[in-house]
Amino acid sequence: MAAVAITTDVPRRYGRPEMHVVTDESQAWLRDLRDPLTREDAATRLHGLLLRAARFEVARRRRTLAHVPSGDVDDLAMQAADDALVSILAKLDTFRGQSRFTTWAYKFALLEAAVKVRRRAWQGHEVKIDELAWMRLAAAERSTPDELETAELLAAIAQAVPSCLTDHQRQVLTALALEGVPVDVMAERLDTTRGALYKTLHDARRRLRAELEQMGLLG
Amino acid sequence: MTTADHRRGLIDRLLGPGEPEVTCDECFELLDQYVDLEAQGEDADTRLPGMRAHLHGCPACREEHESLLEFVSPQTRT
Repeated sequence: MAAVAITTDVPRRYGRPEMHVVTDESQAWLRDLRDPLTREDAATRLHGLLLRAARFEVARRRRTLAHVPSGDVDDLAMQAADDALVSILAKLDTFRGQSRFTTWAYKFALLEAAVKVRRRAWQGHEVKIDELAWMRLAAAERSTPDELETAELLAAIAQAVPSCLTDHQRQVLTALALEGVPVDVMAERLDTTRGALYKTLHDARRRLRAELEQMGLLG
Repeated sequence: MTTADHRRGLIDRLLGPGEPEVTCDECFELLDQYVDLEAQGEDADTRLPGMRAHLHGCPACREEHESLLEFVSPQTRT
């Protein structure tokens, strides 16, 4: 397959720039989506691919939408494909050839579909932060040697949480890690972003680990 | 799954990967490259350090990684 090698910047933490290969197929997509004569047709073709990806993602998560009518579920896929196409066209210049163009494009459709399904599944559900859950963890049963080890570590975590985390870190850790609330759902409820919320979770985990290491419970 | 297994999963979610990891935004930025490397049998973790740890620690990014990898795999595409 004929291809063109280009040099692209990668995030600084990954070291020097690498050579990437833009395949003919990827080049054709870029050319067709930029050319005023072919843009509309290319966008229609791309939307078809994105819709296929979005339907794939929605189907994977269908069991979380058992209470949602089929028509509404397919609407979610269509909205995901529409939103993904808008994002892709706005970010076309950021595609640097580190992957096939279609793989790059599909990730937008899968993200949009996944976020929409998670939010729809939790629509109308209150996010309850059960602070007593930490007390139950601390009192976990320990009838076998295997259970004893895990119960002791959980008890230590439960005891460390109030002393070494901020109220916000504790809330986020409780919701995401203990209650299993999806990060997108929690981000929407708190009017923040997935990235900001995960950063809070990451910081909380780091503090907890440091505390447990000081207690000699983690190597 | 035993009680101990369940608790280990919970401990894992509470404490996370415990090693350097990329952020959610960086993960999304690199996801297509990471998946194409994986699909080609390349060592994606050496090329893009911090991705595996993040996918371990972030359920949402992990789900999207699994979906993209499955969707672009030859079996799914045919």
